[in-house]
Amino acid sequence: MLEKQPLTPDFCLNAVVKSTPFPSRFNPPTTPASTTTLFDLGIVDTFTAATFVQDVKSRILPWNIDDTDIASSRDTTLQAAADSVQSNAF
Amino acid sequence: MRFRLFPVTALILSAASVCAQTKVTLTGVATPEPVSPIIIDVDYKGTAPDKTSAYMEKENWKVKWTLAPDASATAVQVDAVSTYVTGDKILLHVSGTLPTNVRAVYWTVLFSPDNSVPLLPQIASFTPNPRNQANPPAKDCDNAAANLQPYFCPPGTGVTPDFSLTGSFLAAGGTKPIIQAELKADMIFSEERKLWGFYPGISTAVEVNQNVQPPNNRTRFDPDSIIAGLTFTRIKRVHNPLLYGIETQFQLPEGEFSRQDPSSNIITGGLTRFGLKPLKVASFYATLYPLLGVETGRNLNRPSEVDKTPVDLSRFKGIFRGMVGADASIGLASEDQKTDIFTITGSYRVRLPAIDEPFVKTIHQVTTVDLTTKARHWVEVDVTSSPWNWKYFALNAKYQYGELPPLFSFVDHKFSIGFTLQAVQSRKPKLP
Repeated sequence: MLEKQPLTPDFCLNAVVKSTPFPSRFNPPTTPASTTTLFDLGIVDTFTAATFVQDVKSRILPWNIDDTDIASSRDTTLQAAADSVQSNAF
Repeated sequence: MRFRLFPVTALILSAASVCAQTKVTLTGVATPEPVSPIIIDVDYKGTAPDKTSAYMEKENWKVKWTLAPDASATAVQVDAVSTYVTGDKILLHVSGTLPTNVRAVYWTVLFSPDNSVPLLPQIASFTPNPRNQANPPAKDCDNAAANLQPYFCPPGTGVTPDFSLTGSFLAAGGTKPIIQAELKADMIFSEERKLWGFYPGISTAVEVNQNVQPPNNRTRFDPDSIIAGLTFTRIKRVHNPLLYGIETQFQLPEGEFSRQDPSSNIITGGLTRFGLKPLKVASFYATLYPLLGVETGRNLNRPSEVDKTPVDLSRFKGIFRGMVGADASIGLASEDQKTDIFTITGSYRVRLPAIDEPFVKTIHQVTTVDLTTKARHWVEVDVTSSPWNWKYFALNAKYQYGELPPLFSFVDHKFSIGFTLQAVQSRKPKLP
């Protein structure tokens, strides 16, 4: 049984970044989470967005979250995506 | 001299501090962290506030929570302020009368510096996920958050509906009434209820009487194209230098119908799509998704003639095909990354029947029908473009080549090009 980790900004941002195709392209503080978009890290279409959502869900387990509650449109910033996870996980 | 310089230096430092402070703007988003002690994260945009900033003084913050939007509020005490620079957040460490579950209540955070600080008050708030609330509010389509909306809502402008039923009734002299209808649905039953990791859903497309023209001798319902089937879809991330994800989809059962003749098949199948990592340089991107599939089923109806040519398809019964192909796209994203300036999408499928299936070819108005296991190719390419900063013009083009089930009628290099020239008259007077 996995233990629920605290939903800190770091934990959520880490889950979001690592779920993208190119996590190594996130280079704070040069390109902060508030300006780097999911498109910048390789979320370019519906397939990559759907895969991203499923991977975020698996990374925050045993926390659960509805697919539609994870901000995953390609112009979403990493911070907004992490916020959507932090706000909506249950 | 030293004493004269001190007030000037202090004034310059003070001005610089205010200047730096003005670069911080709250985004309006606050999120409670269920840690001990409780922290409220407040998102900001701009340069991180330094230690001397008004944003870092706990006296400038007021935090309250309520059980419902219009319920009585409870104030909590802000004990300390810190920053999380990676995520552009100001962290308010709070104590006092706190709710049992900090993520189940509404939070309102007010940055309200005293009058000596030349900054405007700013507000941020948190709305809890209804799943975390004991008494969640009624769902409403007007809510921006999907978790606060009911199962069905009206589609927004330009949004493809997941369910649509279109009908028309034609009545005129010298003809019986013609009823036309179209039903389309592409729905997932529930995102909460997975079946062995798959999302069950339904996908249907039913068109009734689409080709009936007046005069018509009798009124009837004649479904001329029906595709309906249950789908089970699963997408999984793959940790591989080349692959990003794999999509597996089962369809059972699905109909293959033709509009030109009475042929129809019933098909069940599986499809696996391998999502290679996209190629991405600045605003340009390219994707390639190879796929493998199997289709099996049975022929239900077969025509006795095709294009007025008599055919004998009595041996056409069982269906078992392999399918290989790929979907690819190339695009250039617009500056805001919301849309593409141009996109080229290509789709290639080759169906490899293990049992003889019809193959219809019409060349120079001569139609031939064979029953073979010959490979059936299908290529489709779409180009859409709306050029930079010139939204008056949009171009779209389509290319098709090959054969599609059920009869695999040959489509020989079919091009279609279209454009849209559009504008609004900005100085048009408003008329009734």
